[in-house]
Amino acid sequence: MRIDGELRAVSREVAAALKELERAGVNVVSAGVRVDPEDRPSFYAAPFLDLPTLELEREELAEAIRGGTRVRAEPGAYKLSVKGVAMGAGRVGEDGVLRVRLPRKYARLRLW
Amino acid sequence: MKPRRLETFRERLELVFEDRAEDVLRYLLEERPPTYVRVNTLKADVESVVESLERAGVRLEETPLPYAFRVLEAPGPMGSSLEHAAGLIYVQDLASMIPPELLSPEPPGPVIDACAAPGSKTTQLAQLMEGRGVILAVDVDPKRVRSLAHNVERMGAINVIVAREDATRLRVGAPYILLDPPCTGEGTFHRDSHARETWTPAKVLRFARKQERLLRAVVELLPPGGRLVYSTCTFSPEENELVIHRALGDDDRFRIVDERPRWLRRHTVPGLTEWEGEELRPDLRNAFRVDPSSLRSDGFFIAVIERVS
Repeated sequence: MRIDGELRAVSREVAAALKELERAGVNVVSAGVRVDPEDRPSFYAAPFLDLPTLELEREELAEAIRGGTRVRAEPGAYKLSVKGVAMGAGRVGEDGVLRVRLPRKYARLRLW
Repeated sequence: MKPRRLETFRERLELVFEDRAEDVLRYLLEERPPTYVRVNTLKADVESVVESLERAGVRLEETPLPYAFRVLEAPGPMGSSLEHAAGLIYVQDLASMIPPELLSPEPPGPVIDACAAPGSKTTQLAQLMEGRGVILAVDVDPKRVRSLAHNVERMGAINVIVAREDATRLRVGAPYILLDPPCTGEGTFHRDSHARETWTPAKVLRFARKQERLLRAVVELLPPGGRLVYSTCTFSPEENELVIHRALGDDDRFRIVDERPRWLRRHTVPGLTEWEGEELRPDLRNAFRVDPSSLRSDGFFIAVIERVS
């Protein structure tokens, strides 16, 4: 459903509850998980989109999170997986670089 | 901790832990806290996440909870692992997983998590509800609400609504309520030097006033047959039994029930029914403290309060 213009994945019951909370004057900040357009999905949208899977090495995904990594894949959005475990979603640009949409703090971490 | 405060703290521990007090004190002041992770079953099955971590060089030990593991060895901080960034795990103490387990919510709920940030228990509740129903996760602090909303996204908890709200102002009911209010954190002294160094009996009383105000308000949101779990990561009776005793009085619409699972019993001591000469509700004996030196965890106080049908 759309909340404040954002496409978000929510449970069926959440959609109904939001209306009730609005009536009760509760200051709702967010609900569920932001999905974003299918061609530029947020990292956490992976479980809610039907995307082709891109299998990566651990270090490749860490580099993608740090800022981007060159991969052998057609441009487009993918579900990113490491040894068969789905980790998130990302997008390969026309330049062949895989990038993901995550808060900046993750780019600063020494991810392993 | 200054010697005089330490002595006061030790004396208070002896009153609640009796013959376990010395072990608890030694554990909190001298031992390195263990790390636990909770596998997020909203995103993946336990086995595949464990395999993924083990391939990366993590050694894990099982716990009584099927989705929780103690980290014995890791190539780096668990908060910097890909599994953490991907929301496949949450770094969360084992004792802190007990209150949501005891609340045991069933979809559709709804559930209110009244002091929810940063979201460890909220997202655990979401996975216990298998992503169904509704959890209203409330916190009053704007900065902490941002971190709560991020963790809800990270863990893929589609059944959570995040609200910036003072829980005492809520006017919506729910049959499941978790109240884990801010506290002095005595049960986390082994990993929180700020809590340890700033502890004073006066600070205990300041937190107790806020906790009582919160409990008085949220317990009224519980319909007949509903359940509220009150938990803190502290031991002070003023922040625990006395809060409950003063908020509920002898109101027989509510009862405190013993819901400890068998595996947990030997790691706990029962709640107090008397403090400094004051008689408290007798059913407070069904509340309990987690002995951190026994469970190798944080220390917790937990009470399961039911509203009689």
